[in-house]
Amino acid sequence: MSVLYEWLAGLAQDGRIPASLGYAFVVRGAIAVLLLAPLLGGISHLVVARRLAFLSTALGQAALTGLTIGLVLGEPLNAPYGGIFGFCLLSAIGMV
Amino acid sequence: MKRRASLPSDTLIGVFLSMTLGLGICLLVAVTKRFNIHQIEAVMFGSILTVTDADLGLLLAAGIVVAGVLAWHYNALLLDSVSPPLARVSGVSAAALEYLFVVLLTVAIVISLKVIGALLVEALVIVPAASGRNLARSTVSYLVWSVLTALAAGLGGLALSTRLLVPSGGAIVLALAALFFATLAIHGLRARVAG
Repeated sequence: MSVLYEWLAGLAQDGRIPASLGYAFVVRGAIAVLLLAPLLGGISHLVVARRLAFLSTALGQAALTGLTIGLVLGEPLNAPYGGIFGFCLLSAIGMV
Repeated sequence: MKRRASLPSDTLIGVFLSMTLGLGICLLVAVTKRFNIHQIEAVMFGSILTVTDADLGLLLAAGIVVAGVLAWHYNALLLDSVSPPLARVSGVSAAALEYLFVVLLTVAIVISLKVIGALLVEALVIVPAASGRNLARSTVSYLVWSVLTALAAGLGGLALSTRLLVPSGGAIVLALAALFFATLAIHGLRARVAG
């Protein structure tokens, strides 16, 4: 990955792409958005068709609780996926 | 629980929503003894600063799995949401489908938390479809417009957040809302021209 970041940083220095893309964290954010926007956008029309809009709101809020549970149980702040995923899954299955 | 209780599903979800939020806020007090509240804010409102290469790998792997399973069951899911009796006749189990879809939705929401943030992630699973519906004339174009809206809002919001130094989740949701009202205007204009 670092090769890609250095190459983009070189391009940004030459002024061929926007200067903000010279920073690795911006590139990582852009890649993340490029990956998740089609996924969530594609899921979204099924969410609306199946009338689960309110359920997904509740899932998002449950993620906050999952985060705090994970942190209380000693997960690292940088990757608190276990607590979030576990709690979201529990509340999602509880709701349907 | 929706299948067991005789309550409307939005009432049941409301009960769950308030219960989980109450629990989360109580636990937040315990957590803030060890962590700075700003670190937790990054997860609540989304921050691209916290995204690591490992997160990108996870996003890619989980995204491929979710998209694959969705594509595999796409016809059954769509048929079940458009006409449940027809789906039942064609031998689809509605309960199994509902559980499957909710699990996929959970995975998709959890992997996108870091960028969008826990409090705003639902916007990205509702608003693209709402905008897509304003523009679409068929199911396929509904899907295409939803994906395009999400992509445009995601990249636009990211550009906005790096330029104005605001949280990425907030900027993306604002971009989504702007696109939604633009598509609403287009829809209104079209209806006026047609009628």
